[in-house]
Amino acid sequence: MEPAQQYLLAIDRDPDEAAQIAKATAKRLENKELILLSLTKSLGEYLTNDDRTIRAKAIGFYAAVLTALPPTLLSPAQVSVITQFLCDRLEDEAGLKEVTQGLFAVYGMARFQPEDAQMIVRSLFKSCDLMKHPQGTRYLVYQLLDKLMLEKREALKKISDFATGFVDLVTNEKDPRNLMIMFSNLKVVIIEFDITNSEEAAFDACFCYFPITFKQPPNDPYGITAKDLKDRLRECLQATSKFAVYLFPQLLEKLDSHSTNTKRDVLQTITACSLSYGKNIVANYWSTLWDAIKYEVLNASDDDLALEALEAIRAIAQSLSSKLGNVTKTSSLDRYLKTITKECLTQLRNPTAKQAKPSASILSAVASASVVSHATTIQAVMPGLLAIYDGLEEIMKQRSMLQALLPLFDSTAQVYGVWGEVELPPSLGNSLEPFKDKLFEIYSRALMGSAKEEVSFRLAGLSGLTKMSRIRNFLADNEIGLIVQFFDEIVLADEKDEMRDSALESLLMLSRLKPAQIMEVTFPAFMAKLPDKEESEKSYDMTLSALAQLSVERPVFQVLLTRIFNKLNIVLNNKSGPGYPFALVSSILFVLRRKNELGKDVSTHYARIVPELMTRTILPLCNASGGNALSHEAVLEVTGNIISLILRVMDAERQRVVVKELFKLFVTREPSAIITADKALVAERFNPLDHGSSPQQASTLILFTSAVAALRCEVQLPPDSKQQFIDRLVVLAQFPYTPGHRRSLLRLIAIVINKYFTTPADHEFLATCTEEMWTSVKTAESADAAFNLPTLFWIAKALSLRNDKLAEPIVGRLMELLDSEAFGATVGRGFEVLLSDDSLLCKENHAVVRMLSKQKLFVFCIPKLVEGFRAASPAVKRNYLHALSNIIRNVPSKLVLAEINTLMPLLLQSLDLQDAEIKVASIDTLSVTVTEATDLVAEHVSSLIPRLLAASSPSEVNTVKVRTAALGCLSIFPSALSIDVVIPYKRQIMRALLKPLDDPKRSVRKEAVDCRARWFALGELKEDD
Amino acid sequence: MSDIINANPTILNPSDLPTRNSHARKKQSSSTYIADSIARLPPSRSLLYDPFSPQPASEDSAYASGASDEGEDEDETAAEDIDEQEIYDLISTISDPEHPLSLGELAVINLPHIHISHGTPTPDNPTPMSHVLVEITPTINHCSLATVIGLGVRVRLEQALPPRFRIDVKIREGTHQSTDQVSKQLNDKERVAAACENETLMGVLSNMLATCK
Repeated sequence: MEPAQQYLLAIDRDPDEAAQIAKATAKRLENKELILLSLTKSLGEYLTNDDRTIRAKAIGFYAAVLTALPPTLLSPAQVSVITQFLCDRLEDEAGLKEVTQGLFAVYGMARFQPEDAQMIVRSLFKSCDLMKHPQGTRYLVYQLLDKLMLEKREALKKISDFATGFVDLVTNEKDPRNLMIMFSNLKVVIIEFDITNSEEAAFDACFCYFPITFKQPPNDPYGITAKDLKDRLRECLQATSKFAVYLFPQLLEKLDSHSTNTKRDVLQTITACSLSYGKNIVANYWSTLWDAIKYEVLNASDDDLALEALEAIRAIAQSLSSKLGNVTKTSSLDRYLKTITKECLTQLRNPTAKQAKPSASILSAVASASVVSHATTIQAVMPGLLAIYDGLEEIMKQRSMLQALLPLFDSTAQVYGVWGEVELPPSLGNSLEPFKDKLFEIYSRALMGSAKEEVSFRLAGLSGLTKMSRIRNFLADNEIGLIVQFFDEIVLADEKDEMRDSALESLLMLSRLKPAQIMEVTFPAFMAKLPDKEESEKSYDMTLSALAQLSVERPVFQVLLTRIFNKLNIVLNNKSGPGYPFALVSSILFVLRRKNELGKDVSTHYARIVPELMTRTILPLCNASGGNALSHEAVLEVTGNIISLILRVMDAERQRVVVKELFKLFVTREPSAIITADKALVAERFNPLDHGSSPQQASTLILFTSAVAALRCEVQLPPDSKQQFIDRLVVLAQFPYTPGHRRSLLRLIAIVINKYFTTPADHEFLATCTEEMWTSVKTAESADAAFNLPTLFWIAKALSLRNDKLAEPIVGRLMELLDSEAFGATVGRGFEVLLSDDSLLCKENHAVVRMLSKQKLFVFCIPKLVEGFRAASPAVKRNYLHALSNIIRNVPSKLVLAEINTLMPLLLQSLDLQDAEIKVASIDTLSVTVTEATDLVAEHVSSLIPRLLAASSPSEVNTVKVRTAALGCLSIFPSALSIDVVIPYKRQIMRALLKPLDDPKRSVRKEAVDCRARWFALGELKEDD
Repeated sequence: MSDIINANPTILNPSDLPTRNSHARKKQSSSTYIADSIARLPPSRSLLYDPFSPQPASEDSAYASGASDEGEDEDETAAEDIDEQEIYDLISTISDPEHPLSLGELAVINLPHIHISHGTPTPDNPTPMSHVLVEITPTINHCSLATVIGLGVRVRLEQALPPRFRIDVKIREGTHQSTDQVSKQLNDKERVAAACENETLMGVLSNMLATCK
């Protein structure tokens, strides 16, 4: 049997086998067992068959054989003959795909000649009616053309009227993948080929696709976006300036469209083409373009479109500026700008009118187009604008004019650069220069010389000064110094937030461009403002806030530290309360946090800060002075946070050194390097971990706990037995001085266990130790007597964070206690400790926190909780609800949602409880549920709505928070649930909400108004759709 | 939309619009906020908070010094009456039917032109009638949309105020060529009800009210 026949039999049954046959045939050709001519002849009968599929398959066989041939086998003549043969086959519509595959194969032959490429293209143009074929086949043809264009372009250029042929071939293509190739080829044709006779046809071939309205289908395998197509099409349109004559009129016609998509596309195309067509072409069109585009700015309804239009206006100016070195009166740029500036100036005569601001934006757009354009614009408008300003009497109009000028300063900064930039400034002098003094004066006067209530006027002054001070080589240093003084004054004295924040932001900007001014002017002024003792009116908080914000850079921070420590000395000597020292220490924390967020290494500040603060806190507790405000718990918390933040970023080596000294100080009572003065005295008198210690000394454990919390797991603790250490802490925690004291002891226990109790021996120790605690708790008679209960919760937390198997038994036992009338309430509250995120026992502090540990605990607790709740006596049911509310408040809502089916009855019941916090937690959870578990909520809607309505009316338990939450939750219903479910309640709710509209609290009323508006809209006709 | 009646109205800067001085709306980046976080001592009850002690911690005098509880929580009991600013906040965010701007920005609604009078509660009548009068200022004196704007204000207030309020919406004297006529229309119950039956009109209104915050 002939191989062709075998192939035809096999191809439908087994494509692999067919491929093998083709390969074998190729091998025979290669080995000269078969000659090309007889292969071609053997196809004859199939190629004349009436059945088109047989003809196609026969060519398919031929193509497969050619593909399998080694590229060097055939001679130039053979390649030509085969190409001719395949090109002839193009007349048969049946096998286009297969023929194209064959042509791909000959194209790959080493001896494929430019003439062959021409032959292929001519035949395609002559014989192929491409749009009759499916897009996959067309795709192959485009790929072939693309390859030929890439590698045989010179040969193709010799084909007469290639462009017409190409355009005819591809007309009506619609498939996005094909268009991508087609556009890129078309661009080459437009740029490199002769299109003298087919300009308009080529243009139409592109422009018929404008604007592209393609929407990428979901799951699109090709990943072609509308933007890809738009970009390619735009490249075609901007490829030759010969298109201008067709393009601009048609674009402007489309600008009248109502579709923003079309408008945006038109504007972007105008921008691109203005830049690429060149000055001489644009000179013919600027007038019509401007007349149409300005409308889009002056009457803009869409800010984005207005920006695109401004970009186009700018692009025209930029294009017209090319090769101009100076302001030239007769240039087309000059005529363009004259028209624009004249119109804009007219609009700005009334600066409060709606079109004034867009006019100012237009001026700024052209001023930023080029140096010459900047100079022409400024010279044309500045005298006029300043004259208008002088004639204005109303402050509102003056303000609008000042604001209108602001974008011009930005344009100037864009053209002439800002301080500190390295590129050379433009050679042409800054045209704003002659107006500098006048501008400086009017903006300064607006800021400093007007009444304090004129906020927006003063803000305009402030922004003008800020923007001017940025421009490189514009204001002199003494002028900038004066501006800095103005801003200092505002930060220190001004009472309006908006003013102060803007002034401070400007100072921050200047601290980068002109750092010396800030160090020399601002810093001393601010420091002088800090009082020496606590005053009744807090005069220091704003100053500290400003200083802290300006002190992120290292040298400034060093100065800040010195000054703050000095101030602290003075303040403490004046026997201050805790407020002012708290603020001073907090400002250090603020800067450190900011630095840390910016990725700077804060551990380098250890020596400067940690021993200093520790000594100042601890030493006074050991000598006759009897302590100072630094040992107030609130201040200790801040100091602790500073210590944690600095230690946690240290490497293990440095931490080891610090931890040794820490234990000397707090545990073993030896002289420690952390104390900078009177080490021996401190070692003798400082005993915070002893029973007989003073309450103030004991409270400094906050510092110790914060420091230990920051240690890396590989940094071991120094004491001989960590188990004894834990025992000691547990005993101390049984009788704490204050809640804060207990909290730091329990945290310390949890931190040490979480990080260091990992061996089997440790486990055994923990098992015994918790067993003992458990026994003591069980035999206690009241919650007060169960002094180990808190410790158990913290140990359970430490273990559950690292998914330790010891955690669950402890938690399980604690849950049993929910049934106890004596401890139930306390245990319910304990769940807050168990699941909340702790600021010290956390991943950032190197604690062992396993993924999903919270989820695991949640999954363990919920079934027990639900079951216990069902079985519980009415008296203790609320303990379960309390525990539940503490759990759901502290886990991600997605966990709660997974269990919402079982939790729903509990949540509903908790709405009937007399406890505001539980109610808020439940309502918050319900609010998430409404959007996420619609079906379930729909099921319960009849019991939910009355409860939420009830919760929205004021009472002892329905606090502002409860009421707000309830109304907020109700307002989600209309949009989240299906209309059939909610519409029956509309009347009831509209009526019931009249009451919260008269709530005594404004915030609740606000929520009620919004809620009612949402329900009101429910089921009403919508205008658009 | 048909021809715009006033294409180039005067607009106010948003930072000049009257607002309630509220501590609640502080941005996190604002200096005041930072100053507050630096200088405000935590309330003593948060220091003394202990989940394990059943009774709420009492205000210990040792901590009270300097730690003033100018609370994060509002005072639960003090009543806040509905005042002019609240009315202003309700209606100044309505959009103008012609421009993508609010009635506040266009100075159609102005705080001094809102008047409220509260009745005095008596034991027999703890919630006496209150009266609110809103005078609107059209952007130009022949504005044919004044009625629509007035209607929008009216509908918004009817939805948002408790029933004890009597609502009057008027065109401010001397700002419109047919002040009395429009004012009359706006306060004629039957005509308002009839207008609310008109679907096209309600469509325009619902777009105007969609921006209310």
